[in-house]
Amino acid sequence: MTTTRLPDLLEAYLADLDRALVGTDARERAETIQAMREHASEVIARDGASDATVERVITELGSVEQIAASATPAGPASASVAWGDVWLLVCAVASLALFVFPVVAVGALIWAIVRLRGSAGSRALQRAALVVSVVSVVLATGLVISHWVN
Amino acid sequence: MEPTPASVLTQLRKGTVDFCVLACLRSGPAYGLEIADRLRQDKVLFDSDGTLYPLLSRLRQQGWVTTTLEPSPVGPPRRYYRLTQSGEAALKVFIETWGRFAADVTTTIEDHS
Repeated sequence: MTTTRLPDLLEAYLADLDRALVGTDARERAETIQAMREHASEVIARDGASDATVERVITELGSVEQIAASATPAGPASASVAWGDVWLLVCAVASLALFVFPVVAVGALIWAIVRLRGSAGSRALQRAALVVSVVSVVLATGLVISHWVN
Repeated sequence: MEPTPASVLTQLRKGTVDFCVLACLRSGPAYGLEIADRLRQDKVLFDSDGTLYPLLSRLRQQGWVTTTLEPSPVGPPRRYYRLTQSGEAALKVFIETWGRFAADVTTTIEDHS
């Protein structure tokens, strides 16, 4: 993910856009801001950061109201429970309880990484599952090492 | 309310522009600015470049495109959008349906003009 600092006018434009996107789908909002930052960075890398270029980029991107009007309103669909991620978290917690079986922990970890790399579901649940499964893997590895040493 | 060219375009874009973006990616993956440059050639598809990005996010969430970050020779990494198999299947259905729809619209308008 790129977080290049843009000229002040563009940063202000993106901040305005972020505010205009309040009430729209959260993931779409975050991806839109990031993608537009990359768009602007690309033009500036190509054409330079002169005032004229910055103004042209903003004109071509369009008014924040126009962009916000084309975004998906946040609705029940985006707030619905991502059951796949609930089960992922359950599996990760189970792997913590069953850390003597490292295969479960490794499986939960791989599943969490795959879900995080994808574009669907609840990021919060996926991150929580990742953290729990990492702890499980660490515990399982520690257990294996302690058995091996003893 | 009297229709204006802008209001008619807004209605026509709904449900069609998404597939124009997918069609744009049929020739290969492209990054945001590249897609915007391609689509900007015909101004009626988009009000502005910025409206492309919520749409690309929706296409990604639908699983019709995937994204990868790749190094750029001129600046920060580029996010490339790539058509998926389900995106290609959706585009195929749209193209078949659009052909019949557009032909009917044209015929109807010409028959009654």
